Amino acid sequence: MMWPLTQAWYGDRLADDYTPASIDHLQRLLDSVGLTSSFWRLTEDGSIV
Amino acid sequence: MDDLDLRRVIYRRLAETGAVPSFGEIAQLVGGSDEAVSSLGRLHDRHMIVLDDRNDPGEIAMALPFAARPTGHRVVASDGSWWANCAWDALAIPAALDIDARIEATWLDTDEPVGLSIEGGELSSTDGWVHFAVPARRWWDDIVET
Repeated sequence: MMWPLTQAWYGDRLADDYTPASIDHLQRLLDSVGLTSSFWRLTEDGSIV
Repeated sequence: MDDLDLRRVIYRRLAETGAVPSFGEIAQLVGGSDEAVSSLGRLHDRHMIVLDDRNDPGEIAMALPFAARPTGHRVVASDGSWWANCAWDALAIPAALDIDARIEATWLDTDEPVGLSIEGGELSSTDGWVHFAVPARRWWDDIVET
């Protein structure tokens, strides 16, 4: 599970046109690999902003 | 040179050499020491790099997933090596560089070599755990501690 998540999370870090991913996007990445508990919420209230 | 250009320089240098540009080099690129401190500070505030300037202004500690200083996690490939800040970053460096590499680290519970590698773009083993001690929403409260 960690490898696909890591590739998605960091795969574009060296791209010339890199821009930081939104919290929404990162939260969906975590959700996509089953990390859906409160521990894995990126915002205080757990909402996707 | 704007902040994102500087970020690109820092990341490219890390990718190519495993080291960050010196503060002096950065100052030359952006037009002086004051501007270097300001630009690096802005990148730090945007979580694009992590400064640790307790000793020297503008000292870069991390440009995630890369560590700017030796750590207990080393990523080794055929044409270079890099320091990672943690177990996740040790996986992230081959992902970011799109390379095969081996990870030199030890399991915390046994002190045995981790023995993980990326081969043909795939992780060599799915055994083992990455421990996240801090809830995700708190990672940037103190990213060095995380």
